[in-house]
Amino acid sequence: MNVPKDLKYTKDHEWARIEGTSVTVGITDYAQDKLGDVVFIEIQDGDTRLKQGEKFGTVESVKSVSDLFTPLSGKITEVNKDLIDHPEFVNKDPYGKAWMIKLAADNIQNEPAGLMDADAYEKYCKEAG
Amino acid sequence: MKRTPLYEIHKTLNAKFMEFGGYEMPLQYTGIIEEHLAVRKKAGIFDVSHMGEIFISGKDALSFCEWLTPNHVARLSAGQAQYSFLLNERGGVIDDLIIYRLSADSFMFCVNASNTDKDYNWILSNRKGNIVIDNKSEDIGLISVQGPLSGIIMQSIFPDIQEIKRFTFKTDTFKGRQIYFSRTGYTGEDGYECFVDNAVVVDLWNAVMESGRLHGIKPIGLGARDTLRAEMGYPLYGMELNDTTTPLSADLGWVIKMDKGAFIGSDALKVVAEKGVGKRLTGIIMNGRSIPRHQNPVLWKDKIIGEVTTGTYSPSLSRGIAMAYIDDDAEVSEVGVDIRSILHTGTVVQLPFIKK
Repeated sequence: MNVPKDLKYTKDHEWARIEGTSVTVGITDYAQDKLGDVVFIEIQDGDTRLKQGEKFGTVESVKSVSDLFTPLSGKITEVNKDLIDHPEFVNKDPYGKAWMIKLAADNIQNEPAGLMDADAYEKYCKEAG
Repeated sequence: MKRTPLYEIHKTLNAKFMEFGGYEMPLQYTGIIEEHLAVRKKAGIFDVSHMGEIFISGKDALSFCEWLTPNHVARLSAGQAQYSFLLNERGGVIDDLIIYRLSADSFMFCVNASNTDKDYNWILSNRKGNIVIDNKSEDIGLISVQGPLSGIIMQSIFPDIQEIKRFTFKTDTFKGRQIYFSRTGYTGEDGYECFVDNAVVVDLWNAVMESGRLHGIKPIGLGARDTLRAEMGYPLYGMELNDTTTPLSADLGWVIKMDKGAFIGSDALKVVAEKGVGKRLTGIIMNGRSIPRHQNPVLWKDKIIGEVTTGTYSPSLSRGIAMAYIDDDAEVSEVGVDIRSILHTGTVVQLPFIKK
C-alpha cells in the first residue's frame, strides 16, 4: 500500500496535498484497491463552495459506488476533466493523474489539524484490514 | 465461513475474497474488467465449488423429477442436461438449476450455493415413491473453464472432450476419481464444467492452468462471473428470480412444459399464463456513463413502470447495463432510470446485450 508522506488523509480515504491555500484532493491507493476497477466518476462543478466533510462527487467501480468527501472547506477552483474520460487513472495513479479537484481553502490555519498524517493513516488502514 | 479446497490457491493468486452462499469465494484476482475480457477473448477458469449437487436416484426417480420440476425430464437421455427450476405451488421460483441425467434412474441437480439447504429440504419434503435423495454438495468440487479457447485447453487433459455437444456431459476418471464434465456454463461462451471429488479438485485446477498457460488462461472471480452472465441476460437467483416471481415473467416460459402433465406449480402457472404475467424482463443500455444498480426505479414519462434487478457495468459495451422488470403493457423504447435520485436515460433492448 502506497501512502505518500507529504499528504494528509481522511477517514473516508481521501488525500489532500496542501500548498499554501491551494489544496489538491483525490482518493488513496487503499481506497482504489478496495473499490476495484473504477469505471465512472462524477464531480461537482467548479466554483462550488464546500464545507469540510461535504460530498463533492461519487466514484463507481464495476461492483460498487462510493461518495467523495472534501477533506477541507473551500471553493472548487479546478476539476480534473481528463479523469472523467479516464476513470481507470484512479487505479493506475491515485496520487498523480487521478487528482480530482483543487480547492481554494477557507481555513488553512485550523482545519488540517483534524486530518491524519501518513503514519496515522497507514495505521488506520491496517486496523480496518 | 466455508471454504472450497481451492482456497489456498486463490490466496496464492492474490484473490480478493467475498462471502457468497456461506462460502469465502474469490471476488477477483487481477480486476473484474481484465478477467471478463479474458473469458470473452481467450479463456478463464472459475472455482464454483460452492454450488450444490443433489442426487436423486431409484426406481421412481424419473417420475419424481417430472413432478418436482417443470421441464420435460423424460426427454433427457443419459448424458444429457437441461435447465429447469424448483417451483413452489404458486409457480414462484425456489431455485433455478441444471438437471443431469446420469442413468435411466439417477439424476444430479446442480443448484445455487445460497439455496442448497433450502432446495434439499424442499425435495425431501416432497419425496414420493422409491427414491434416494443425497446432498453431496460438501464432497464435490466444481471447476468451470469458459471462453473460445476452452475446448483446446481441455482437450489436452481429456482428449475426447470436444465431442461433447452443448448441454451434454460425459463420465470419466481423473486421478482415479469419477468426474463428470459437461459442456455448459454461465458466460455465453463455449465452455465446460467439471464436477469432481473434492480430493482431486486442486489437481484438476493445476492441470487446467498448466494446459491453459500457453493459451492465456486466467483465473476468474465471481465479480466477472456476474458481469459475464449479465451481458448474456442470464437470470440470477435473488435478482431476477425469487419465490414470488414466476419463470413466465422472466421470459423463461420455454422451460415450462405445460403439456407434460401436472408438476408442482403447474396449476398456478396455468392461471398466470391466461391472465398475463403483468411484468416482463427487459434489457436497458444506459445512454450516458452512469451505472444502474439493483432496485433502481425505471420510469417513463414520470411514471414508475418497473425496477432494475441487475445493474452493472458491461466491460464489452463500456456502458452501464440493466436487467429490469417493467410493466408488461409498457411499449417503450427509451426509459429513465432513477440512480440515487437523479434520472438518467437508457435505451430498451432485447436480451441478451451481447449477441453470440
